[in-house]
Amino acid sequence: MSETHNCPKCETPLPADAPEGTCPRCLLAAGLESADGGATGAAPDLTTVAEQFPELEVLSELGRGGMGVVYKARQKNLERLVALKVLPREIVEGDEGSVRFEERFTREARALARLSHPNIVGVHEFGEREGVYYFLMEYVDGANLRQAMRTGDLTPVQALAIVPQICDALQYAHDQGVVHRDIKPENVLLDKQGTVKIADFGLAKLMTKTPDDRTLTRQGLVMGTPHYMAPEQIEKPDEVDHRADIYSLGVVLYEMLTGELPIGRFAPPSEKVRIDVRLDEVVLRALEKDADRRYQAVIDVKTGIGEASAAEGAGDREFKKEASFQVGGGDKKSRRSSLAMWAFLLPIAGFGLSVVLSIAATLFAPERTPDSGSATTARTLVMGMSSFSGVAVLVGLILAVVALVRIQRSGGRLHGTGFAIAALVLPLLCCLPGVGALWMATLRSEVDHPAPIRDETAQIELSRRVLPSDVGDLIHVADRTVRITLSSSASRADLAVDRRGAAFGEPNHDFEPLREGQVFVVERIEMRRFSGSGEIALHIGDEVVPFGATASSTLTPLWSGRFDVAAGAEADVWLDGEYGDVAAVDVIGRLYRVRENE
Amino acid sequence: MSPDGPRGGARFATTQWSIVVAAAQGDDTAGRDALAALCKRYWYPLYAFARRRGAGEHAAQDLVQGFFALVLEKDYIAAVDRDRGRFRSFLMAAFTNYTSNEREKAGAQKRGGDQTVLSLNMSKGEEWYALEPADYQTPERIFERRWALTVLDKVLAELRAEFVASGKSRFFAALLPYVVGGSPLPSYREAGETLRMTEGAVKVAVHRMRRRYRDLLRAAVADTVSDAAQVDDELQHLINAL
Repeated sequence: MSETHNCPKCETPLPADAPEGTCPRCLLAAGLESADGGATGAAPDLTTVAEQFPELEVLSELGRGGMGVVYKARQKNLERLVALKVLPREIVEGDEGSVRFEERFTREARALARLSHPNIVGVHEFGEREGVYYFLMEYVDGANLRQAMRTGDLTPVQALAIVPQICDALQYAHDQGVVHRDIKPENVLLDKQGTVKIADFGLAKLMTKTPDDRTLTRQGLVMGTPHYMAPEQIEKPDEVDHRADIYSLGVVLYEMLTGELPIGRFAPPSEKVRIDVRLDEVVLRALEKDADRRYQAVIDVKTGIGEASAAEGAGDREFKKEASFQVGGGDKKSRRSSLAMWAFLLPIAGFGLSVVLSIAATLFAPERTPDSGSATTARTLVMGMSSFSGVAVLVGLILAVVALVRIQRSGGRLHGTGFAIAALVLPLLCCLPGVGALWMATLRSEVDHPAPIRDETAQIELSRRVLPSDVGDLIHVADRTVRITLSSSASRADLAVDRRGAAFGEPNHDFEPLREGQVFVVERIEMRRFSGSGEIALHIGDEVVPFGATASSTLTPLWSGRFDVAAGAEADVWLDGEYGDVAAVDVIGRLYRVRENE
Repeated sequence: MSPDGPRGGARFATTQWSIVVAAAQGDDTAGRDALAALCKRYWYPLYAFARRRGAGEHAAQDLVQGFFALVLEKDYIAAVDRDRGRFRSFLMAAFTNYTSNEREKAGAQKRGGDQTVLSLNMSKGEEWYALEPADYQTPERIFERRWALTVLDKVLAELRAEFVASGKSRFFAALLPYVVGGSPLPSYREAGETLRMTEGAVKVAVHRMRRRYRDLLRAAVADTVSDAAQVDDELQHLINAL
């Protein structure tokens, strides 16, 4: 599938608007004077190569690109497989007088041949034959990173395991004074053991103009793939140093993680895939446009990756046993860090749970509490449970804070996990008797008062906020009583605010009295920004429910209850007390028609 | 392997842009025609540039029309550097100058609307613009990239037309990948089986197609530079713009 999205020649992703579905860069490149003869002229076929290299048994063509053609061959005398890279003829011809090129070639090739590192494709031999410049290199049996990415099997974890090897190779080369200049997925080879081998070291330098070659416009070909090139490679090719490789590595890293190139204003990798946000920092720093703000050494990228993925030294070993590299796998440190993450979550979960339980307990109990003997017992139980829960919440919170601090200080180890577990378990234990009490109270109240069967079709929502604009003058009257009359009509329900029994507001006239068999269940009455003093009580029919303390400030009493409507009864909800200021009174409830049980 | 193609300078002794540049000083209708042909060919990159700089659909049309009107009246041509000028950079510089000039901006509507010096059907512009990658490109980049793709579009259209004219339209799509090359392509023999041609015939066809394509491409690019020696450099510039 994905093959169709990459150019078969340069292997970069094809843009959506590629003309005739063909890579526009390669199409334009085919028009270059130097491309004359194209694949036929510059790249000799197998037979020609075989004639030129009698000591080799040329087996097949491995690939071709801007850097020439690579053949797989067998070195007859040593009986080993080698890769033969033949440089494009035009780079030699384009150089004014190939003497100059020869000098540069020899200089570069010697530097490359000196590179000896397990993660760098070794150069066995180099030279020139009949005007063709070549390298005889180590043969890597495997695939390049582009191919690996294309198959879609490369997970972020594997990608991160590859990077340290690339870093090692680059750091080694940089220490030797060699800059790769063309790091891209095609140049990162992976052998069958998962070992990274970087190819084409420094070849890009041969292809581009050197400071003393400025007059040679045709030599000014920028051979690399622009997407992977550091900005200074395009803008100031003369000032390129090892930090250009760090930028290219950043691009490769970004592409490995996200499958996309970091072009223009790109999103940090963690926004595209599920990876640690700390990796963003590493990738973005490698991708700094300004070389001075970039990582200054490849080894720092490696360190950054190691820290971010909590897998220091994630090198070939981890890549080879990639399964065990998964979080929680064989690596002790990564297991520790994942445990530490859980330990972070535990106290939070414990605290949250105890809060929820306490609220639930406080909320549910009174609704089931009828005005009877058993209700007293139940209330006592619930009160006890609430205090238990309150204590549990406090203790849980303290433990959670202690746990968090200790875990943070222990730098990814598990100090403080005990506290975290206690923070979870303790509130649970404390809540248990309360939950039992709640359950018992529910049972008992149900025996006393069987729950009405709700006839949902007759359900009428009652919800009304009484604002000071409605009641403002009412709450400052002598008896300081706000009277909220609940009434209903066949089609609608409303709340009427009465003052000393007098009808208030036009809609009240049409109200029908509540009928027998209806039950009004008040879910909640809330008063906002209430201040005042004295006892506030709610009168529902004959029942008086104390509203709780009313000292000052914001008071949002939670109250719920239910009362049955007697035949022809007018159901009034009264609020009695001394009011200073009430911003709003919310009465939220439901009116049901109930059928009697049994 | 043959030392093919000495610099193709002679082939493009008179390119469209060189005619324009040569005619810049005098009053030459050939220069004006050549310029008009070039403007017709490359209006879209300018349009995309103007749109990306924030102009609306109609404003961008008016800007481009107004600009071409002005250019064809030779107000700008005299300023072209005869030695180094390229149509692409000239157009970009002149257009930027034009749009940033408040007086011209105010006059753009009138010029573009009232006096259509160059008849352009720009209705496709918005359709194409909607397909532009929205994420990353500066107006300058989108101009350059679009320029490169416009060159290719025209060249491929010409090439395709030639294939169609000679009744070989089905070869066009099949052989185009070989012009570029690349390793996973089916061999000539396989391609021959598909096209019912011998392997040798495919080879020859590809070779001819490649040659013809190169000529067309180089001619198209040469039309925009004042000296044929600049073709490679310009091509390389376009490659980098993509």
